[in-house]
Amino acid sequence: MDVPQQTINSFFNNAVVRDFSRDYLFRVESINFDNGAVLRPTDLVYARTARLPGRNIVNQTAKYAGQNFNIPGSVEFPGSEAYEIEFYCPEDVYLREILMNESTRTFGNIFGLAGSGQSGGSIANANSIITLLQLDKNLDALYQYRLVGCSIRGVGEISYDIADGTGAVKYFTASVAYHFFDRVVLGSNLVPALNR
Amino acid sequence: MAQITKNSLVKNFLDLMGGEWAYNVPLTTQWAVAIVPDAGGYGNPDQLFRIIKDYTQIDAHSFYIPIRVQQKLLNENTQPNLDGLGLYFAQGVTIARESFSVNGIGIENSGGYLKGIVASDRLGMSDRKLSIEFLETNLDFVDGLIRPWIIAASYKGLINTGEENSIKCTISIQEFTREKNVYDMKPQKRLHVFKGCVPLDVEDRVLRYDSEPTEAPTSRVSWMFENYTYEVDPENYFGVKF
Repeated sequence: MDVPQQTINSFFNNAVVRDFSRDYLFRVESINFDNGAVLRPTDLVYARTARLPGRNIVNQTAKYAGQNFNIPGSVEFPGSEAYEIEFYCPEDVYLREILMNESTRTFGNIFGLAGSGQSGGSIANANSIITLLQLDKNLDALYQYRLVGCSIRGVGEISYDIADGTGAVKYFTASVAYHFFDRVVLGSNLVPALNR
Repeated sequence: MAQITKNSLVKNFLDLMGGEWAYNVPLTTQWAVAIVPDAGGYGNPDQLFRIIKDYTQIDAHSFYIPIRVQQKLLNENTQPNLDGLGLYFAQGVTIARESFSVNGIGIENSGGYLKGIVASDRLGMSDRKLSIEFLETNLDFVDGLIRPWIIAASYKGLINTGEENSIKCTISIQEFTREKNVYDMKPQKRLHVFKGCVPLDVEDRVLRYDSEPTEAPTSRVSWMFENYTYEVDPENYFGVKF
């Protein structure tokens, strides 16, 4: 069958016009734990890797005459229980200390005290938000993702090599849970976000 | 019986399931519960607290429910409106079953003759329970309202002494499903209404020094009810009362 829209030439034409998203065109813009730690864009230049989260519709199966019929169910946010961000570790380790303080605020083991949000409610409230940006090559924001209701889960370990170290830069990973995300379209001529 | 054509089984199933709202498979997690006291109604649950307070004080002052707690349990914050969020604390519902029994009737020494089947009793309302699991919060819906409610009901009894003095409530359970593309309303597939409800039982609660559970703690409460109705596809107001 002739498929004139899907030739090498049309692929090349599209590649020239639309280009491709690159692995570095992404930023963690801000992390705001309500009434707790706040990481601003200047702090987050040390964010090395992060993922744009996904959204899954749960599959329901109805069987009839030995055949499965796959029906859409409700939504799940895979990985929302531990969204990971890897950071460069600055020499004064302040980024990790900020996150470690947030972990201690979330639950302090010495006095057995758990923190609260600005309103006195849960830390994981609607004001605790991680903002992610997808960028184009002009570093203009295309889409903004807001992970709503975030609260710290893991502050990763750092392994040092005292005897045989080569001066390698150290990283650490932090993981944050969130409830769900919403999207805002920031660039023009983009597919509008539908939030309902 | 008519012959079934070769291609009809799977195709017809798919056509029905995907072609019409009535035969669509529903979502099972989309539902809401509302508890409305008979005394005072939805807008004035304080009346129920007054009755509970009056009766529990017979037992001990320790069951006294502070006004600030009363104002937070069944007010508009926790069940904003009957068509909306539903009761904030509700996490799971088990809707009571419906059944009746049958007996085999025959004569002795009837040999190979089978006994006839006759209908016996329908399951009584006292033998079935509506149960609701409530989320445990700092305010604690179960210990703040249900536990004293059970105690007050045990003193007061179930005799109707007028709506304003009633210890009972109406519990509505709305089941939502996929959109029908007709109205802006959240599409209901079924509405259960249980009337004359009184909490009967709060399950045992265990506190341990284990690690925190991975799911938020809940408590199950069993309710009696006097009668129930349900509406299938409530937009059509097709109601059946039992």
